[in-house]
Amino acid sequence: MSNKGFNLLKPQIEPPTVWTKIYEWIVGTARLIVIVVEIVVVIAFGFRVVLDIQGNQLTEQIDDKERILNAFQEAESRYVRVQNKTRAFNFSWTDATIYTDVYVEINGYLPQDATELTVQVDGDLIFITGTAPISQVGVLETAFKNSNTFINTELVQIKADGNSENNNAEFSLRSKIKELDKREIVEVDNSLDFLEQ
Amino acid sequence: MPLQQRNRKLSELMETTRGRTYTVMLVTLVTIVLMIALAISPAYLSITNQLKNNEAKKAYLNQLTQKEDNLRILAAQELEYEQEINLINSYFTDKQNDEFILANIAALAELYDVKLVAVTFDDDSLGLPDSLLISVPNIIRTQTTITANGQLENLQLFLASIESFPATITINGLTYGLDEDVEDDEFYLDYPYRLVISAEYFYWGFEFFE
Repeated sequence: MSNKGFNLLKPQIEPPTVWTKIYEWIVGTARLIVIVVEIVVVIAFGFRVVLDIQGNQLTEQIDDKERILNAFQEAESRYVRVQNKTRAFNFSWTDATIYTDVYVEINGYLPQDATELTVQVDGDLIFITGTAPISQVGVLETAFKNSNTFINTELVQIKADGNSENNNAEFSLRSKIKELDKREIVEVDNSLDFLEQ
Repeated sequence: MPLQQRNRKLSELMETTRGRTYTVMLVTLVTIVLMIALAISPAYLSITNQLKNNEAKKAYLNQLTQKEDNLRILAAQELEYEQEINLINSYFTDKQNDEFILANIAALAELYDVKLVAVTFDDDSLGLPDSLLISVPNIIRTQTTITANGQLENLQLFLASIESFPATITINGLTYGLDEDVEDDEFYLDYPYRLVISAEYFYWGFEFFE
């Protein structure tokens, strides 16, 4: 009869060598690390493929657009020219001074009996010279000074033959236009009809 | 020997459980850092670079699309305003065209019963007025002097018509008065006042893209 019993002694195993430890680490922890890194790299590869496809599509679209814009090149220079011309025309129009109203107002003040009369308008400066009765010269000067259109009115010279108001006097009057009128852009229903008038 | 003693102590420490744990953690950490540096980091950089490239391409594509849309709008506008553009081209000529200005001024003079005495053009082109210089650098102006005789009212209408004429003419000043030579010339008896207009007109100097 054999006696069966329990062996309570700890099994005697060989102490692990360095290589055993390395091996266990490789097949345990290192394996997990490598697997995780490989998964990350594969996912990154997938992303990269998608981005490359998008990039290629964008490049194709850009090429198509550039071909279309090349076809427009001549037209584009024409449009720019028309735009520049229109802008220049607009500037030259709105920057120009109009003198008709000043002309009309001055004519309303001119002495009726004046001779050798000259009116010079240079920019915003006005010079009037001539020969007229002293009283009319006074009326001229007063009219200019009372006008809202003119400022800095000055009777520069008055040389009369005598003291009577009916005597003729050579005079020079200087004044300045307060605010020059500029041309305006007018809204019209049909620009062609307006231009052809 | 201190070095031998230190090595022995280190070996004894590493043989303990704690020592072995630290060793494994250190080696694992070094491996992870190596993997990040050699594998994950290049992959990440590659993706971010491609993303940047794609963003730049998208932005450029948007600009091209916007430009195409604008050009199509301009093409439609060119068709819509074709006649107005032709009129601007005729009134704002591409070269010096004194005959055009002269013909129109003569027509206006005839319209308002004013006798056109002289129209002179200065061949030496002037510089550009300051107000236009910055905006449009390629237009050229020519000095013009217009001399006409008539009644004051007719000269007023003549002056107003030049100011409203749709050409690039601007008036800088004027001089008028009784013409001293009128009494000697019967032709001018009905046209006693002389008006001298100092003006200039502009024309398109050269192509913008030349």
